[in-house]
Amino acid sequence: MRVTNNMIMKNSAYNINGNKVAVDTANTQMTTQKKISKPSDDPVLAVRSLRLSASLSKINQYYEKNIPDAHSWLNVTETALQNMRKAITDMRTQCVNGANDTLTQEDRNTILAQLTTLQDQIYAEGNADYAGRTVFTGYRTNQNLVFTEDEADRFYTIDQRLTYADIETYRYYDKFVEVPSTQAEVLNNTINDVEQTEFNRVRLGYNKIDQLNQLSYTIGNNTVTYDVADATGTPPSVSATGGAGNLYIIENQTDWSDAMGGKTVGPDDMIFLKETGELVLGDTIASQLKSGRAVIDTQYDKEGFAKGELKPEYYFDCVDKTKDITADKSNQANWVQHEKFDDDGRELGYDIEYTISANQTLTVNLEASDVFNQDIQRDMKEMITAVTNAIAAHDKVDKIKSMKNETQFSTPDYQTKLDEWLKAAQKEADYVDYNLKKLYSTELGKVDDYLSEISLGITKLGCTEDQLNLTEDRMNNQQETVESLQSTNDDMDLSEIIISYTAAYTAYQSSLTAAGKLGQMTLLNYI
Amino acid sequence: MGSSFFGLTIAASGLNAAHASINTTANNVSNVNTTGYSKQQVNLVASSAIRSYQKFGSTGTGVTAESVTQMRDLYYDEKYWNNQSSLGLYTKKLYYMEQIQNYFSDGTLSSSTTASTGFSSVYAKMFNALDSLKSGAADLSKRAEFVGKAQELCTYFNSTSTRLSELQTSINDEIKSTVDQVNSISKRIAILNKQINIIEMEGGHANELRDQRAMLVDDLSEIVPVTAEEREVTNSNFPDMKTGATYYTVKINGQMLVDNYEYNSLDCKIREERYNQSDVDGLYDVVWKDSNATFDATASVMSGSLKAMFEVRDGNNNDNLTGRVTSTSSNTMTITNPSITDVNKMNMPEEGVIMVNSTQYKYSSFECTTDKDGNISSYTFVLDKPLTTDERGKISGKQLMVGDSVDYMGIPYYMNQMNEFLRSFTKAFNEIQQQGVDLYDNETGSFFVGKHEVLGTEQQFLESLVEKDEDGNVVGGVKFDNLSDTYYRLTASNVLVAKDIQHDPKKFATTTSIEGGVIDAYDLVDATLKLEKDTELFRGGGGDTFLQCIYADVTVDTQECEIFKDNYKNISNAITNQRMSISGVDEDEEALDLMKFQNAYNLSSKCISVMSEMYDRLILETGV
Repeated sequence: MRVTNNMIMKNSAYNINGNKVAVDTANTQMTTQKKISKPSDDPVLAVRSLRLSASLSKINQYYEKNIPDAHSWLNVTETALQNMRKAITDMRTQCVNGANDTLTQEDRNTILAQLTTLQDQIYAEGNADYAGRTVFTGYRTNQNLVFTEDEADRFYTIDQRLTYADIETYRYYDKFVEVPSTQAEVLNNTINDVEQTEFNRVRLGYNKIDQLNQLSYTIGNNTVTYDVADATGTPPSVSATGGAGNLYIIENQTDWSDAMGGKTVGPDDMIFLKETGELVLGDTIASQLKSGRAVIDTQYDKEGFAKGELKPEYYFDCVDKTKDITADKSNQANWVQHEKFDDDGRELGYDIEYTISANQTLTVNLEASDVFNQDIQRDMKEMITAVTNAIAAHDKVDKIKSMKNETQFSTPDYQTKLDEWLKAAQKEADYVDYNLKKLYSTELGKVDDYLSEISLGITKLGCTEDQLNLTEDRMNNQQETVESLQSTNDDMDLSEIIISYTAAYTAYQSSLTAAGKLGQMTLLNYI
Repeated sequence: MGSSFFGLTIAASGLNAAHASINTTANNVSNVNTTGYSKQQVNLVASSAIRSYQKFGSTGTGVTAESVTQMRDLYYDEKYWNNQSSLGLYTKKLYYMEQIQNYFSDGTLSSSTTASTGFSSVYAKMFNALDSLKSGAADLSKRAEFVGKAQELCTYFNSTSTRLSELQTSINDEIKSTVDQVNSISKRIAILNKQINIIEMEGGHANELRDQRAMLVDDLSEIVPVTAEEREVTNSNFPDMKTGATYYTVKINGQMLVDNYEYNSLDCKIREERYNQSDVDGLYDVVWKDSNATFDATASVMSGSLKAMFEVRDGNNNDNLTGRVTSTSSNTMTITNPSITDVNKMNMPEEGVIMVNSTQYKYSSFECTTDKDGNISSYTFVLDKPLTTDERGKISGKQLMVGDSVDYMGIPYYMNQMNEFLRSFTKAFNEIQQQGVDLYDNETGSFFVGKHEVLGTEQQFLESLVEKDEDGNVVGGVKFDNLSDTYYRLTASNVLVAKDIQHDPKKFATTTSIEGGVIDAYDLVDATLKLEKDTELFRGGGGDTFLQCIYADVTVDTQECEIFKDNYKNISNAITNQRMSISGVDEDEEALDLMKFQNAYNLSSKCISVMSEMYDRLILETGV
């Protein structure tokens, strides 16, 4: 074949270009350290890379966002529970102290001061939040567990179910001594003789109840209802439909004493005390309920909540009617329904689940009702009342004792009378001391239960944390695995690129050298 | 005895011939780098001998430079042209496919400039943000992040769609300039034909003009497949007598482009209607200027860069709607058994053209009827002109096609794929949203909406495709038209996250109910998370496989183009070498020629001086 100079030139230009393409490819690989620069270079590799990136992106989401997030959430929860446990342990210490035989007035004052502080502290922990989201409130993370200030307008209708296990004995006192201050009072005033009565009672979740709407108890399949709305008389009372005895609805303890001539209740009767939110049971009915393993259903209205009280929606089925401004609260459109139990009485859970790995979720939250017993607060209040009463009684004794040393009462008349007063006051002090001791030792048992509930919560958290740690390790491994897979898929081995780059560059140089020699000489040089 | 001065004439002819040859060599050397130049050579023949009435009979009379001709082999020209059109096809296609591939490419592979802008990255980010919502469904910053990522997904589709539209526009412009180029080439070839004949009928050889003409055909062959033919024109009375003139024709795609001195032009005609839903306006069709007949650039026998442009611009993978005409009225046509039954796959423009019986009809709107599964069972097209009874008879029962079916995965194909994916995805997403309530406890509408092309309002796509009774049971299909609020109206170019959700991230649902203040409930988030890969959304896979499917399409085509381009380039090089082997100028050869003809010239002049001495002797010294 005839070959012309231009052919040689053209062919070498073509070849040089071929080598240049190779150099460019190797150079791109070297600078990016990636095997391919566009999908069509190797579609299989490109698609695999896409898949791996997607997996990696997911793993990073789990490992770098969800898992640390879950950790923080659990930590906040655990801290709150630890604080709570400490508070309740302190409460227990006070129970032990109060149950002691010998208490000085100073001891009582200390107990009172301690309990008052603890009362504030205990539920403040319930409002613990993680990044502005309260942790014990289920899906209502923008709301607190307890009222943070007194809310006089809050109106709830609450459904509460109590059981025979909630029935406990409680002591009631009437006719406390009123210490006289003047000579005339010492001589003329009646000296009250304190009376103690002991009854069974059940306690509602709240005190200061506005109205009892419904009350019924069920033993086996037999339900006994009190048609509360039909109650008549002073105090209003209604007889049981399908059972014996009456239900009396009474404002407070003073009214009770006035209406019944002392704090008593007939054996088949019940007394509902609005102010303290108690249902006092007659002896017969109490033993019926206990032996029949009864369930007591109540529905009541409560308007106005105090700072530190638990919000009802976390414990009970209830309706928030605060926004309903009609006088009789009848505008249903403005009601907010809160459901805590389903139709079968099972508790509804609001689990906050974090996805911590593919197809694995972790429930991170504990709900208030799982760990805090609603009774803690009411127990605390009763303990405070008991110790306050004891302090007052002893104050009375001390006061009368000091009166005896005053000159104005130095005559025998007064002294004799004052001795009577002192005797009465001493009796009262003995009663309330007894009550204090009795109540505090009962509370000791309860507080242990509360503590174990909280400890159980902490243990659960620990288990969750363990599970989270395990998954975190696994995710860490997976992240490394996928990263290395992707690197194997996408990245060039550096030594490999250098070799291929050197090879391509050498080929390019030699083609340049060859082309440089071309065309230097033609026949014309020799003519 | 012959003439005493005869020898002088012979020597003079030698001088002449050598001179002509040296001139030609000089011409060759000067044109050594001229594109398209073919080496010329002087054809020397010995002059006719004459009788000299001598014992030796006749004597030679020297040399004649008969002609100057070029070295050219028409066989290789033809091979070159054939190959060049295939090369043109794949080179141009590759150029565009690489752009399309680039638009879809996800940055995890290569350079950091495009990193994390591709579909897979954006999609994964959106679902990660959604996953974060599980641990804080009411958290405003988490909500805002998710809405932002969702809008990013929309923006990705908007911008990819815009880029594809821009590419379509620029290809369209290039079609116009290419057609102009074809016209200019055909005109110049016709002119050259005339000039060549003028020279050659006088007995010469129009070498330079022929080179020019061949070059024009070379250029043309890259654009369209070319066949050129040259016939010698003979005297019609004496068929053996050649006139020296030739008749030159050029055909493209089998149709006459240049007919000796006459030439045909192509013309670009703007389409009045779109052929595919997402086409840009003002696309050109190429027609013959004289007959107004369509020049079918995508026919299977076609190749060249023009075909590449049409395929990439119009290629819909034959996915356009077809069906059989089952009934007609004075201004409607109804088809059943349509090729597209899924609303998400609908790709016909709102008003466009339909082809039946090789005749185009324009429709101004259409209506669809669905069956109880929500699939389209028939389409009715409302035509802009009434049909005659005759026409109605003819088209009944015939196969109908909307727009044009082009067997290539070009821009319309990728647009349709994006639309189909988006419709499936947003529909599934919105249906979950529509079950829920937002943080204000209001029922939520569509999360992803479409911006109306003209009105600028947001479309919610709430039209149901099946009819339900009061209890929610399906009782049958429905009718809807092109204006109905269906997902047909959602495209990659108009999708967005509803504006009021973008402004206020509280306004989308994570749960079916926040009754009682349970704002952190996330049942709908769980349901939506399943869409990422577990729900079948697109081509039998989950949403995350969208890009993988597109990759599969685009890379297969790109790779094919690359391979074929390289193949044809190699062949082209081989043929070019062979052509150059024959027609090319070689410097060494010319140098040899130079020496050769110089020697010849020197010798001839030596002959003359010898003759001169001989006459000197004869005239001055002999017999004086």
